[in-house]
Amino acid sequence: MKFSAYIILTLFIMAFAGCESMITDVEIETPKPKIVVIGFVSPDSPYNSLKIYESRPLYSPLPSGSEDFPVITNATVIIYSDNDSAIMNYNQQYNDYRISQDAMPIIKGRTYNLKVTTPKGYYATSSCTVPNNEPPVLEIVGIDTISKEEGWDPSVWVYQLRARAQFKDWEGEGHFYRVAAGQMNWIDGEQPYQYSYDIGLSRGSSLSSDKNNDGNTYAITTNDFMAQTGESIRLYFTISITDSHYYNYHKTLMNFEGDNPFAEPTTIYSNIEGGLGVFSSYIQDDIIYDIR
Amino acid sequence: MQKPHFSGILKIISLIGIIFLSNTAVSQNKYSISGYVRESESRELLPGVNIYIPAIKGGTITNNYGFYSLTLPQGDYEVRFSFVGFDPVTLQLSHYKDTIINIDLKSITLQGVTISAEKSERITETSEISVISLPIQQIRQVPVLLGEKDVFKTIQLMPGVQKGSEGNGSLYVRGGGPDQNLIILDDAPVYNAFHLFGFFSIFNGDAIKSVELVKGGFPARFGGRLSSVVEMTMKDGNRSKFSGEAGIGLISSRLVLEGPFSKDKSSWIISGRRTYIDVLAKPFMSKEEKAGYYFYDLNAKVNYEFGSRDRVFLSGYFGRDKFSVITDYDTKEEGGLYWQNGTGTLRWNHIYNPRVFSNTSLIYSHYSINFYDQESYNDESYSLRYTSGIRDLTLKNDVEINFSPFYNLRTGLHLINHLFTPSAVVEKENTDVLYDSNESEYNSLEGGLYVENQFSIGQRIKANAGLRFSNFLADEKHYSAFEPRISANLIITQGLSLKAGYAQMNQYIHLLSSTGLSLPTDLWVPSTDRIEPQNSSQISLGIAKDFAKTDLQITIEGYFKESNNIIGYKPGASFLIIDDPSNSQEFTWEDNVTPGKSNSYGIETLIHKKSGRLNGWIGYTLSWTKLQFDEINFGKEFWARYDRRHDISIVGIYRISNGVNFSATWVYGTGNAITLPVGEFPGIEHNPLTDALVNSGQPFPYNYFPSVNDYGEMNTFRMKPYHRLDFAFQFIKTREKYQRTWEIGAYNTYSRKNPFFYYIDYDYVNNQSVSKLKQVSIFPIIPSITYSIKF
Repeated sequence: MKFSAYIILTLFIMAFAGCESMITDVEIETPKPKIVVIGFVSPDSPYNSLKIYESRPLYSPLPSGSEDFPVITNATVIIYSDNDSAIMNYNQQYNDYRISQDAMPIIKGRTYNLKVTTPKGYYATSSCTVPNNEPPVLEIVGIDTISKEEGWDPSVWVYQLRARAQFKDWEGEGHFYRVAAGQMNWIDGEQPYQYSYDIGLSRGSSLSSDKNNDGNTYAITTNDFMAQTGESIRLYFTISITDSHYYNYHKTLMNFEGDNPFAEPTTIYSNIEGGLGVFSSYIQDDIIYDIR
Repeated sequence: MQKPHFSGILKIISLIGIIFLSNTAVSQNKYSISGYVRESESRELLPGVNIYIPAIKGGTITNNYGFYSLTLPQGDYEVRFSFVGFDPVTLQLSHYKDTIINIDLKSITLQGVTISAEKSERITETSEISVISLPIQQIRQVPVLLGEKDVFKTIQLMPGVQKGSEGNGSLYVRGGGPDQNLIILDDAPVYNAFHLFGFFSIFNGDAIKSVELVKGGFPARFGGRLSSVVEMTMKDGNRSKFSGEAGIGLISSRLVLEGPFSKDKSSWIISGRRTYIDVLAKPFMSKEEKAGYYFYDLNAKVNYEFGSRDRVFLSGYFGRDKFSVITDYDTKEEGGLYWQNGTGTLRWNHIYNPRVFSNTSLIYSHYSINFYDQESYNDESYSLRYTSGIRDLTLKNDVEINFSPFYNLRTGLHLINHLFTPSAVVEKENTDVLYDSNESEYNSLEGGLYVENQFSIGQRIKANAGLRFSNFLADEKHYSAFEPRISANLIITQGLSLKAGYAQMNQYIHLLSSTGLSLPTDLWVPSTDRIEPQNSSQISLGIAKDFAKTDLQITIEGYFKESNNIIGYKPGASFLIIDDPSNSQEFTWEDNVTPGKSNSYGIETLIHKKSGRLNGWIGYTLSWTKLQFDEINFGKEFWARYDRRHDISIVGIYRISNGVNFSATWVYGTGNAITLPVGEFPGIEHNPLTDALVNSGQPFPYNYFPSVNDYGEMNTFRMKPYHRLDFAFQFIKTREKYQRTWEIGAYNTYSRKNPFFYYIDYDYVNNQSVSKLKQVSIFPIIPSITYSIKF
């Protein structure tokens, strides 16, 4: 064959193959929905509640006109320990299953089991053990003024502030903690708004495990927050001691990166047998710190 | 990790001593033949040449520097020198004194195609297991993407070696990651072997003399990585005349020039390659907005012979990739990314006596990635510069002693100083330094001391037994280990043998990589007190068969490899910090990684024909790779992303007529194991602040409802299988003063849409949103044409 004949042959193959879209659909069997149970119980909450949903399978049509997750309202939910057993009833107002401390006291160190059944055939179980310790003391170490600038009115000063706090881990490994800092502002002489927002932390983690860090002191610093002359600030600090399920679930939630192709996929932690979600416990202390 | 024992070191030293003493005792009626084997025209030194003495049914091969040494009792012998693609040479030797015999082998090529009738080295006669030597001639004839001849893409076609994603040159050897391969160019380790985000390797095939891949049964002279060694030697340069080679391809051009400084005494070679996409695209860009990408690489080597006992080689490599964007409006902004490799090797070969050969190397290797952003407006300016890299300085000395055709000793000491800069950031506004993180450097020292004993027991057993003592000192943390190595060959009948190998390996440096992609942004980091060295144990067992008449070799090998302390990335971890380099001060890589275990096992079959009118190979791998990390997949074992049950490569090179060659490759691989979301559910978070308000009397419901993915089990979904056919025709014409070659070919001839990655998208069908799994492919059929001349 001549050189030109080879070129013609090659061109023919290329033309035959052509150029098509390089994005194609992949056929995949529609997965089945799963029951999702999410609940955090605590000895300090007047009511303890659970949310129960059905997950939304991918590779199938979404429910038309709504992206909400279907709430399961007709489940039978039994919470029980070695000592007690009670049914958690669906509450339409809060769209959850709840029970008061009187009906089912949540007690430190005790293990609670959960059994959820639905008419559709879902069957999920779980259990968690309430931490034995109280949360450690969260000590507010200082409020730093980062900057002070004149506002639009020369009599008003605008402050940029930052709070520092610390707590010490209980002796022995196996403790998990959650800390948070919120802020409420109000004009002097008026009632504070029943609304706070999370300031977030610039240093330290809101979730901590004492694995390999037993007995350490954990320091946190809030993000900067603003205040001005004539305004008061109430800082809400919370510190919780949690079980491992609470810690693992929230840690994976925080790590969840959605569709970032450059991040490892995050499987959300679950301790629900037969479904998704978490049933976990915590004990929380709140610290209110007013700045005027 | 094994603890070092002082008594072990004493045993090694004693062993060496005994061997030296025994040698003195037996050497009185034995003499040596030694010398160099070279290519007759260019006087290029030839590694891997087989030297065989029928009378003793044994022999040796030339080392990486083309040197051989054999010690024999006095007598008359026939000595055969043979190497694939070269005319064999047979000598009759009256052996009654030490003799130096330098041999020149003549290449048998006809219009560019090797038609050697002589056989390759018989694999059934070597003690090595899991070692593949790739003839450069075959590498140059295998069809590849855009006609860019690529050593790594050819290695990917070998059994036991998987590729990563489509078009990417990364090597996954026997279940190990790309960070577990020791890539050596003229003794220098190369840390990032790729151009263009992994699509092309940095090694210019025109400048490479030999390539060897070791997958298991590692000789003790190699250390520092778990999975493989890819050892490449650059050409030394033509010692007899000035010559060269030039090629023009679709994306790059290349040039090689070589010649003697002083005939038969010293030579030089220089080669370069550069892409020209940026130059071609420039006229089509506006004055205000410009973007460009290029890569280039340069290889250079000189050597000088000081008498018959000493040779000095100085070689170097430098390559760079750069991607840049410039906008020039009121504010002028320039940003980009460039990464670069540089290596330099100074080697001294010394022959103490005909039995003792030594090589001493001083090696420099450097890799860095840089990200920059500069903005200027009138007199105001802002700049951000991010750098990450590794720099090695190595001193190594290796000694080979030939005691008899049945016993060779190799010993050596390697010392490497690593300087890691995982992230250095400098941020400036005008002349004010806003941030400077120069202190983030880690210095460490890695050492290796080894002994290799290559011996035969009778006519049927050949073995290489050795021990390597490795250690690592960093950040006041000290790690050390003994690494036993053995490979053995039992010759069952002539042309049929049973092979086995065992190796323990330690790896003291780690690569932090973004998911599944070999990007230049991957960071090298040392072992620390928190992140321990990786280690592995591997057993290989195989059968080798030589078909002497057809020059065909068949190997079937099984392996089992267990690795510990391998690096995994915690869920959500991302190391792609160039998204926002100014945040890199927050970057704590040790918090993002987790140690784990890997188990891989499989069977590999290779049918290889290295020469002849029709040559090539068929490779098949059946393999399994499982991983387990305490902090990934909740501690449960899962399939590795590149676990590949079946992997097939068929490579054929055929000489149609004088001056026309045809080559084709077909590959098939089981799809990668990935984690696919199967559903979505509300990731409701407990909000302690809301709780605090509830506790003060106001009941609040949970208030945060992000949607999160239900991924199901980790890596249980398989991407579609990968398969592809490539072909190329070479048209070679020899003129009076030069030879020209046209090569036309195609990659992915039947335009198979192979998966690159998957994502979820939403289509609207009957006014309903439907989530669909979409596959992105990147290469349809890609034609190529290249032109090259050789003079």
